[in-house]
Amino acid sequence: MEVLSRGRTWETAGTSLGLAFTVIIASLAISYPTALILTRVHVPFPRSFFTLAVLPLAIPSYVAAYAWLAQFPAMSGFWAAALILTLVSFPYTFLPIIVSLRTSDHSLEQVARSLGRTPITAFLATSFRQSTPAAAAGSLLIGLYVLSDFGVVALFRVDTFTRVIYSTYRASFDKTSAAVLAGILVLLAIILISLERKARGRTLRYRPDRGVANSLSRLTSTRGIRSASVAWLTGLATTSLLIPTASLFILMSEGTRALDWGELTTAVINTVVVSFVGAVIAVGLALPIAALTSRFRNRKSAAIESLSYSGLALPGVVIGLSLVFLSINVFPAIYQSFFLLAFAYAVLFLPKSLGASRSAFESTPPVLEQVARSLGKKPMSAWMFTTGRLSLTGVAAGGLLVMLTSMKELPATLMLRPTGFETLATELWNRTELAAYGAAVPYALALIAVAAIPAFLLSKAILVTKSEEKRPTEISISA
Amino acid sequence: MKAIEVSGVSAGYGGEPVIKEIDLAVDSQQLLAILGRSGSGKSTLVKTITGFIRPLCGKIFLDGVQVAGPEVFVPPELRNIGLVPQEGGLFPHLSVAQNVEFGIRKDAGKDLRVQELLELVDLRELARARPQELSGGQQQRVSLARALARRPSVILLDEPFNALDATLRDHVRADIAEILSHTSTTAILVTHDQDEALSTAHSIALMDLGRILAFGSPQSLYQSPNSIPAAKLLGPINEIPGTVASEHIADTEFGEMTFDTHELTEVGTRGTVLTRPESIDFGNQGTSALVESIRFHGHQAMVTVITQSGLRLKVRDEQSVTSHIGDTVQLVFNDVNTFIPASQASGRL
Repeated sequence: MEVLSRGRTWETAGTSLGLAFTVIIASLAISYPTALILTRVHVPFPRSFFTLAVLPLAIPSYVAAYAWLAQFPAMSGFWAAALILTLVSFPYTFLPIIVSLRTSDHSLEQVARSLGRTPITAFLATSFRQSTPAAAAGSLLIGLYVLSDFGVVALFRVDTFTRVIYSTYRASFDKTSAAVLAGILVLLAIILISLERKARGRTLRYRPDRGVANSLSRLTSTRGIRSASVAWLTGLATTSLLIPTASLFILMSEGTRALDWGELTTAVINTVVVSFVGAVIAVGLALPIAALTSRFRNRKSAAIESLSYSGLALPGVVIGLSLVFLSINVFPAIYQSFFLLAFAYAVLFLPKSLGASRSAFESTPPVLEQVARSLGKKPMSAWMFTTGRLSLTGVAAGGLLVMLTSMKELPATLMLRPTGFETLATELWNRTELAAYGAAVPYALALIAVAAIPAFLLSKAILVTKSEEKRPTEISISA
Repeated sequence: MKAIEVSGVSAGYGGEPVIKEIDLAVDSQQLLAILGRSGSGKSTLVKTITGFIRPLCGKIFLDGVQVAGPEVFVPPELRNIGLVPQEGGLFPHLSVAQNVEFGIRKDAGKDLRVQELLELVDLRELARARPQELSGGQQQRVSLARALARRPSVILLDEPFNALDATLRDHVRADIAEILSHTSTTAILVTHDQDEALSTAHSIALMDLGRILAFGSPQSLYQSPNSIPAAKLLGPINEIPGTVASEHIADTEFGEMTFDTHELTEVGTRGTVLTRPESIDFGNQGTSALVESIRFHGHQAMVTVITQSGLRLKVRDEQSVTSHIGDTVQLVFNDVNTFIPASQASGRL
């Protein structure tokens, strides 16, 4: 246990947590103004700007880091890593925040104004307060993501936990030290999860909505505010999307090797299929847990929920290793099979699907289910006809999110894929391993393009406020 | 045979039972109102009768068939109880007609039945509308049609008029009461509104702290309540200290007052004479009192007076306004009073 007494261990823990909090704060600082602009200011093309603010989800963090490094080779260290991680992960807070701002009860804000608050203090006291659980949930995802990120910190040479675990494991095959370090990492994740639970607190679930929803019309904003808003949104899209993709295109134009279209096509198909199957399994696993935790809050359901979040805290390497071990020793038939890889994605990204399904279920009033029962439906079919049917969009959004993240996943894919099975992420890795950066670029671009499809659908799913439903289907991508 | 019979039922959500030893019986084709403040256990009782909560003890019978008891538990979908929840609980993704047909088996007569039900609630032209396009009152009528679709033995209306504004409320209430009697449906109406209970129900059960305080016809409960809390649940009441002088007479500061009684009370028993504001009139001679405040209601006024002993009394002035604040008036007490012995004042049966 001497690992624990090493000063460096604690220093690394400090760096990991510091990086996580820096990225969370920076993401919130981007998400709130963006969400406010898109809900309160008359800007041109609001839907397109919304989609642009979601699309960074399609860029793998290591690809973004690599693209920035290619143009700005001097970038390195803590702040560079924080910048890139923020640019790829801010949608995790932006999405829940904008959903919350759109559905929050504006009459409260009007009451606060009538009680003498300024627009800003009224907002802070009401709509902002109502959005904190959503923001906290998104922050948790970002925090856990940063804790388990490997690519960015490796490229910028920041000594965080994942990097130290990896190098300890790599250098000495010292499994015990690696395991102890991984244990501390999980502990850090548990700290984050409990902080989030505190922030979420006891939020009112079924907001009683009576009659016509009191919606605050968009502010009649001055030209100055409008231009500043457009400048902000454009700047955000430029740094988060344009710079990395433009950089990749520049690199590709410099590349010399001819591209093997057949290999690229196979990789695209493999990526789409395996991540889709993973998403289906994840939704299947998440539904019963979400159904349980959305209706019953007690110690047992909270424990099941926390357990299912552990996937987020464990680096892909750890899950990968444990599934290799499990399949070899228990189910040798599925070792290195397509199914095992899809299953690994489902386990890794279960929390995303779980969060989305749970909040969709929570926004459906349970009385509908009771009415269906009283009209002769058995429990399961009553659920399907009401809560299940009304949460479809939310559940699908969760599946899309799993698909999206699975496409970008690297370490577990490397370990678990069937022999000869290449995805875009592994092809990318193979080429960077050989320092064939130019040849890697088309795969990076293809990966972004393919991942942009679920990201785009996700933004559409959230944008859909079905006109026939009074209560907009509440979708949250977060925990 | 009773349409609904609840005997000795206690139920809750784990831990302390929320409702305790409930006894209730509703005759076929009657409307029972369960009246109580929020938190009195009304909703828990409804959930227990519909089958969403399994009672800890006691039995429930519907049309003589046991649906809950120590060895029996019929799930809600097999009880055939129609449910009209607060704010209607319409399925937002279905049209009006689809909502109504939700509980009906698919067969040849189905469309006709839906037509019939929509006609019954006077909403035929809105069959294709979505719930969000309807007014609150229309939503409640659809909810009722949906509940009636399976010809349930009982309909439970759980505070169905809460979300409606006052003028609409009276109207929808009368509509629904008429539809229920027209279709000869037995119903339970859960409410915290005394006027609603008094004006719509054939009988009323008063609930407080998870127990039934009193059960009876609206008139008898209103005019001769069995406890002070029960009396207060049904409207303003005056409490005048007194002592029993003979079988139907109590001595009070206003002289002898006649009262009805549930059971014979011994001469000399101390207690309270309860009298409603409308049982006191202004006259030319009687007890004099000072007018303290007047609440004007249009067709009548509620006048608060202070007697010489300092007792505050509420008097309903049917003539609207005949007095002014500060006037001295003479009070005449009518004979419609109840006597509650001090030992029973808390209302525990």
